[in-house]
Amino acid sequence: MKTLGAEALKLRTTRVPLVLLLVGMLISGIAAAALVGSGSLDTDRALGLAQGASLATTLATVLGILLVTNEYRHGTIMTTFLVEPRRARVLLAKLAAALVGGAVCGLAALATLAAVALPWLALRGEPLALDGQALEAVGRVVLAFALSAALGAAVGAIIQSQVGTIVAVFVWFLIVESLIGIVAALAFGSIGDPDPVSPYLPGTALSGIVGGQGAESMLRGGPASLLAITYVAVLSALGALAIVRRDP
Amino acid sequence: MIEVSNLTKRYGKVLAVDDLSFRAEPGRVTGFLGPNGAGKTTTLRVIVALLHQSSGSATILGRHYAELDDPARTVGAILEANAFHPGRTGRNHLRTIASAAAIDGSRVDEALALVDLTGAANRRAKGYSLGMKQRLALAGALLGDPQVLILDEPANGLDPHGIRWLRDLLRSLADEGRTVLVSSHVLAEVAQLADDVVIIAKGRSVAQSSVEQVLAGAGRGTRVRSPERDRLAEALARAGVPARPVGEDGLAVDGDGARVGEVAAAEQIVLHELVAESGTLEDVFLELTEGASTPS
Repeated sequence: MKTLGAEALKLRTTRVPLVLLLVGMLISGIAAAALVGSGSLDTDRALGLAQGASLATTLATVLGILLVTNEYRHGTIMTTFLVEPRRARVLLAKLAAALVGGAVCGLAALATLAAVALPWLALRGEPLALDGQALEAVGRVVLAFALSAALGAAVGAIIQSQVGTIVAVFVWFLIVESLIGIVAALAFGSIGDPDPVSPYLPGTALSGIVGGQGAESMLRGGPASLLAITYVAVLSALGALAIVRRDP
Repeated sequence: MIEVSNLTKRYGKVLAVDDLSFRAEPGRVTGFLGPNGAGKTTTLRVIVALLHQSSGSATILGRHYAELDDPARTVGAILEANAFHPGRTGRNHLRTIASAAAIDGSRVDEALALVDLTGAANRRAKGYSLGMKQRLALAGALLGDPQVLILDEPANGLDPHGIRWLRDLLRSLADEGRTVLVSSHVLAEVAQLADDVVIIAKGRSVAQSSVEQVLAGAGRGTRVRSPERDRLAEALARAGVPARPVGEDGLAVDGDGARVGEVAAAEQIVLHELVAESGTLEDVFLELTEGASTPS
């Protein structure tokens, strides 16, 4: 699809996406060193390591946000719509570019992680085999990165303002989801108990794909992935509506 | 050809374009004039489907922009002179358009050469002057070798050389049979460039015809000075030629100079000055759009 090719070209012809990729690799390398060095990896070591890479999913979200809001910020969205007046298709191409771009970030983070962790573990005489568990961990990280980027693009299409989108996404992830958890815990039980709402919020679902150190009640793996995909799909539909309705 | 029919665009209570109709013909440059805030940009954006109209229609070659088979090869448009990612080079900006429109990559270098930006093609757009940005925008519009050009204030930021160059370019594009619609608030520029003009004020059409016709209708008059100004005024009034006093010894006459000379000769009145005043596009524009512009 030619529009997708153009979106990929837009990502490759500015500096920020490359910077995000490199920062993600740096974070993953540091996380790998911390995880291996502290000896905190136990039963499922592959998944434990993969969580180190998933720290950088936030950067994939920023990438997705920029993919859409940069065009509104700099006015290039008009040129984009002149070439493809069917605006929903433009968003579809951007979502696809975000999924691919996010996956590339995920693979780069994993590669750094492996480059640091695998030789180190082997030297310690505890080599990590590239078995089914390891491949599943890789798949989960790539999915988490891809969906994080698509979520950023979808919210960017809804809000359109770059600063507005970045503030909204991070206030939601860092503050609102915790607040909802506290309120739900107060309403349904007491603070400290697992509340029934938090596991189903988008941020928790996204981090559950790889599986973090969150509450025991949190969704993980398959169910978390399905829920995150549903969130991204709904937000994308709202984004398509906004982009078609609201003129640039 | 561009055809706008009964176009109306409302923003809440504000009527930006009010029942506007006009055509831009192939092979001609159509100047789209009006004071700031008259609705020019709004109209142009509706034509290329960047804005949804409230009612009426705008078509290009008989179809709505969004229904064109290959919009980027049919229409080239500039709607914002500075619509570039500042960190992307001029060449890469054009490459993204070519890629999205499936235009051959070789057109990028041709378009850069056409607007004389080859030397700056690999520099980031943030370092471009306003004139260079305007030329890059034009290169983007010309990339698909379009039959129809829609340019919103394309001369902004160009120096006198650039303006002459733009004029020659648009002239040759129209001579090749293309439709060129160009908005401007700089009238001298349009008077030298356009074949037809559409003048709007407060979102409504106030005049549209060829530039020659508009100028012909611009009340040609005569300025005359005479030491016997009052006697001349009476003689002209008897001859049925309206005139009003100007300054100490002048008259502004609503008629051509030959008639004034004949009346003066018949009455043996000495004249010190007799000047034919031809109307300019600016006079017509100011007259037609009087009170419509918002001082800023």
